[in-house]
Amino acid sequence: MAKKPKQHHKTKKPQRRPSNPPAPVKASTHYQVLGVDVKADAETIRQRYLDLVKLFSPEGEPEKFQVIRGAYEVLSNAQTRRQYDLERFYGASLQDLSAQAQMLMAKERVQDALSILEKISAIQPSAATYLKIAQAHSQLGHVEASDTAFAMALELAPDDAKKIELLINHAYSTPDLYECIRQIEEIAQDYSAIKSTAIAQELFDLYLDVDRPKDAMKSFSRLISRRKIPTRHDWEVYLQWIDAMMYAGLDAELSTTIAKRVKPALLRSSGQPYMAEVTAELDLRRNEATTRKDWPDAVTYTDLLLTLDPSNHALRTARRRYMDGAIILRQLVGALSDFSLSNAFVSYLTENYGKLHANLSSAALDEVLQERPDAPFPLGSHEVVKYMENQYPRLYRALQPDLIRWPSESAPR
Amino acid sequence: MSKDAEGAGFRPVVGIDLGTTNSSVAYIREGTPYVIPSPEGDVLLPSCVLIDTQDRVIIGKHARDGLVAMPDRSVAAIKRSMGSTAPVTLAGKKFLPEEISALILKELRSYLIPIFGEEDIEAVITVPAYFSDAQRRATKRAGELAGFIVERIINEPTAAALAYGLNHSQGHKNILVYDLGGGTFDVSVVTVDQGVLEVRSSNGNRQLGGEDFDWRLVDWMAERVQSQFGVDPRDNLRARALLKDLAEHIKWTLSSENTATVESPVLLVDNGTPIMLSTEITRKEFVQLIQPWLNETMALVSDVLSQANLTPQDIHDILMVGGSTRIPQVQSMISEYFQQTVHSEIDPDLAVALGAAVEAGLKSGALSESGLVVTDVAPFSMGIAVAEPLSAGRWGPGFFSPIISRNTTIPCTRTTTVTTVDNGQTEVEVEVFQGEDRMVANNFALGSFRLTGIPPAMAGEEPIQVTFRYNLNGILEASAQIISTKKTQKIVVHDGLERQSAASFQASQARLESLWAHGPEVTEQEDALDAFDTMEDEFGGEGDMLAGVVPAGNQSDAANDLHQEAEITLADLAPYLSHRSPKISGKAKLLVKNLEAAANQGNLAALQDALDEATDLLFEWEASF
Repeated sequence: MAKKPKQHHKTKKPQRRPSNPPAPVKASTHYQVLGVDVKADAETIRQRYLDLVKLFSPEGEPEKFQVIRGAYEVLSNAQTRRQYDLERFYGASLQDLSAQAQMLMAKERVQDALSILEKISAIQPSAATYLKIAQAHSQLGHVEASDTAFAMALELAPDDAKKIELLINHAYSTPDLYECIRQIEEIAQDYSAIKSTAIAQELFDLYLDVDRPKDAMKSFSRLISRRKIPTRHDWEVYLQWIDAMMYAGLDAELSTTIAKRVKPALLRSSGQPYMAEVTAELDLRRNEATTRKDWPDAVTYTDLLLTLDPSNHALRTARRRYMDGAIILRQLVGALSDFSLSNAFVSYLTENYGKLHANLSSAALDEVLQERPDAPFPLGSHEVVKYMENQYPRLYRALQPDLIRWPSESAPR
Repeated sequence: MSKDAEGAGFRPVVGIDLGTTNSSVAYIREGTPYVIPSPEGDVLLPSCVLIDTQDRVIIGKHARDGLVAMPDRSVAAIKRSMGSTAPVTLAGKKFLPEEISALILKELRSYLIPIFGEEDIEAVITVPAYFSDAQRRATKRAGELAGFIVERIINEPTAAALAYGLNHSQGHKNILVYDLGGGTFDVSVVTVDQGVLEVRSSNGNRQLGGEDFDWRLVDWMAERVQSQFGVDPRDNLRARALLKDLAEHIKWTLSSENTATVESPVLLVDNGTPIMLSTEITRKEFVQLIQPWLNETMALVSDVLSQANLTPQDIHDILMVGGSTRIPQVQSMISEYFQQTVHSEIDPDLAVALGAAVEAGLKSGALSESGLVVTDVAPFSMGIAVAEPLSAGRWGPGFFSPIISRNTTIPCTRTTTVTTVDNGQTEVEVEVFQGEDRMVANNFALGSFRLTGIPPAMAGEEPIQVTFRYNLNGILEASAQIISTKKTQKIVVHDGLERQSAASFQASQARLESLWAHGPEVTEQEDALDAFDTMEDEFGGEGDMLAGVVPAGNQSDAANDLHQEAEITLADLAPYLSHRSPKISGKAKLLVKNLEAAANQGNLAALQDALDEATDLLFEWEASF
């Protein structure tokens, strides 16, 4: 079930002149129901309502009462009454009009949609309507008109959060995406204006699209640290976010950063009924990381699991094992940087294995070494072996078979 | 109808306050509501049930005494468990909360016999405004189990406002009803204007009341005992009941005194050592203990005002309802907040019952001359589960989209339009929920149905109209229509749930009937009792419902067999109640009604006839499908 469909631009349909929206056939107006003049004041309307309710009580005449009450509710509130008057004038309810506009947009009858949207904005100016107008203009290539409409939308937005929402929605229909992001940052400041997970995720995606993963992470992690008790839905998004960041594999400290942000949120959610599912999700990710020998990721997920269950002995043991793997990986990078191979090695690994996903297969190493025959130390030489034994004892032990094998199989010189 | 129920010609309709601590019943006599006292002259019946060692059911103050003497055979504050399906064990037997409540209502019904005789009596029963759908249903069932025709379930604060409104119907007044009872808290803003009593907004907490204060005091006393003797008296069933009793006394004392003395020379005996409790508590200390709850009530008061778009200054009168409003701190908090003294012309313990009687009078016609009309509101939002866009192309399921929002005046009908999310989607599951949370998972599921046959189209292009109709009895009818094809599908949430339970209702009713019949004169008949015991042993806990189908002292194998067969047949009929052919479903309903009537009257011949007819038809129906 859907609430509000987003626009679709998938089908092309022949453009046709819009037929006028059919005027709903109404037996009577709210004024006629209450039997008051269209200019009746609030006092008269109230009095008339009270008199009618006594004749048609909810008990005795439930159906008639509903009609009377419905009319009274609209007419007793100055704002809804004004809107009703305008709708009467235009012959269709705002809801009908906006549904119609949405349908026309979906059918790519943008011009028709636009004229309806403009009608709506005349009756009840709102940020949402102006945003749609801006999008319609942008689709028709009216850059200036689109900007003007968007400026109206921004002006009508009740608060910063709404403004950011508008900008994010607008980002893809404006030619100047970067300007849009700049404006978002200006309004968002430290992202404290972003209160909803959905918006935070939109911004996150937007940053990833413009290749600024660090900002993506920053904006989102602020939201996590602010949420009092994350909802189950929040967690669905958080987990997606963690996946995306882990996959992007920014740098070695990433895992710690993620863990630092997520742990307090986990603690705040502990005891919530959905936490069993979240735990299962985390555990699944931990197992996957283990399978692909991605030790740093495995450590991160284990840390998160341990936050929820600090006394889990099996987890603690597993974490030590993953940590060993992670340290070995890091030392490998360090060791190879000592051999001036780091750039080539790291870039090779990040390109081909995402983030240090290499499982230290000698085949991979051979490949690197063969591509870089100009290493200062001849690998496999006595100096290297000695050096590694002293500097990186653990790595040395882990790599020993490979180190021994290297000179014979792929001695560069 | 006897001479007392005058105004002559009106149906006997009574109003019942089924309270956490006390219950009472009232009716309209000569245009004025009166509470009907017990034969002993008490207007309040303590909501306590005791099953004594001879299996006699005792309701009321004697049962309350049993809370300490026989804690495993007595139960109080059952209202707090209403709507739950977890059974309560009483004297080794398992009861549903509504069955316990039904016993209390049966006792109240016995007070009515001198006035109305044995004829069918309709009842208006009150529930806290914030009671959920399940709790309301359980209350209605309790009333029916007790043999009432439950005409209407109304909200307690609305009832209290009616009791007040009967004498203040003219002019324009905004009143606030602050209802702090034994188990629940409700607050409503009501406008009385020229005889129209309009509930503007309603809010509450269904687990906040005098009971919580009592248990807080129990903890306080237990901590004292524990620090002195190293024994937790709460672990001992009897000591716990004793402490609860002491707590109630402390509360009463502190309503008028500044200090209460707590003395219990032997609370319990631990390893041969008597454990005693002797301490004092001041009003100030007590207030400190319960302040968090009181603060919550004030937060809800401020909420309900803003929902009604009113400020404290707009309130002309404050109506205090429920025994816990006797706590001086509650009164001073309220008068400070509203800068006015609180209303005390109606007894806070009786306001709800009297108001229920007013509603009863309006229904029966006994009060039609008063010109009073009441409009109430839906206490919860009701809506459907929808997916909402998270970001481009992604949908998050499980969002709650309210269709009838809370505080909407009832009865009401509301419609919303939704669309499909996937291209080519041909069916949708309409899931109906009640609550205020943005996610359906945190709301209460009322039911669901599937709308099929949607013409395949692009996502978002096929609009579907969902309509909710909510009536005065809290029955929600949800329907969905595919606009382009006019295909409609609907459910009646209330009916759907009630239908399945027709058979279990029968069983419950029979079981209570048999318990009830265990009056003193029956206990003389040793044979009957023995028979009952044997059956009970044979069937164990749940099984004794079968033994109870026939009133004790009148059992025969043949009757028993017939009743058992009736239960099976009722279960067989259940699926046909919702049959798509109105002819079949109508006939099935009639059959169920006949069977139930015959079983209830104990008319074996009629039962046999009804069974024969049902069996014939069932055979015919089953053969044709």
